[in-house]
Amino acid sequence: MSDEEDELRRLLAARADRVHSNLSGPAIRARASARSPLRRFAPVLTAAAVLAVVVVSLVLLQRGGGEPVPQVPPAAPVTTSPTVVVSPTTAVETTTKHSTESTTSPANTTRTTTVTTIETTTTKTH
Amino acid sequence: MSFDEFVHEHQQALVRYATLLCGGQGDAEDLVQEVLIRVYPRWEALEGSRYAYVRRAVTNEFLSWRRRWSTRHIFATAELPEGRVEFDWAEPDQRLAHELRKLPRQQRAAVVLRYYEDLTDPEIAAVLGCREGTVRGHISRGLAALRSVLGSDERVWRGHE
Repeated sequence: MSDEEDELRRLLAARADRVHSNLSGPAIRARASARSPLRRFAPVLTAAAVLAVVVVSLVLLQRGGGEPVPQVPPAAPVTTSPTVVVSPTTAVETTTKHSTESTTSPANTTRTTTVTTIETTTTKTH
Repeated sequence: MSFDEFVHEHQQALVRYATLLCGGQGDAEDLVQEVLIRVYPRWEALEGSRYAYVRRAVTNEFLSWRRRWSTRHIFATAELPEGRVEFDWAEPDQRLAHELRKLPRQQRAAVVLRYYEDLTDPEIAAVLGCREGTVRGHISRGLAALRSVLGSDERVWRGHE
């Protein structure tokens, strides 16, 4: 055992020797008898109250959770019909107009060429 | 031994032990009285060493009671002192009590049980409800904290000099 431990023992004993109490058995017994029995069972009562709250909460949660959840009606389907229908029609019309214009001019050119050839042939025969 | 005889014979030792734990005699008397009031209804049913039983009850009450006490008793002061308050800790045992009060509750109880009540590590572990290794740790750290009061420098204790 070290000197410091001896010193600690000595100081603790010196500190304790300063204390002089005068508790008496009859006074403590009188206080124990005067104490309300409700206070003696207070921890048990508190635990029972907490348990009751927990049980009631669980029961209420179970009852509340059994009801079916109201179904929300499905929202109206979002259609993209204006885009799908409109844009191809426009494209076809545009293409049609363009092809009509382009085919007319080569047709006219062909006719002109044919007429010219016939005139040349008749001249050679005479 | 009747309850009155037990109180007459051991109340001084119990209050002294509780004073080392609490730091003040008034608190210690309240603590011991509270424990004895609770023990009295089942006094005849107690077996074994009644002093050891009551001492353990006092320790357990201290370990839980300090928490309640700190929140229950808040004392207001009329005015705050302007300067720094200096205590006159003339006596070494008063300085020790002051330093002892700074220790955590479990450490303090372990140190007092070892060096005042002269209990062994297994006995302290049984009182505190912890392992022996924990008890040794509490005592080691408690001693390290009290070295300044015990008259030697902490560096000497740790073998640096």
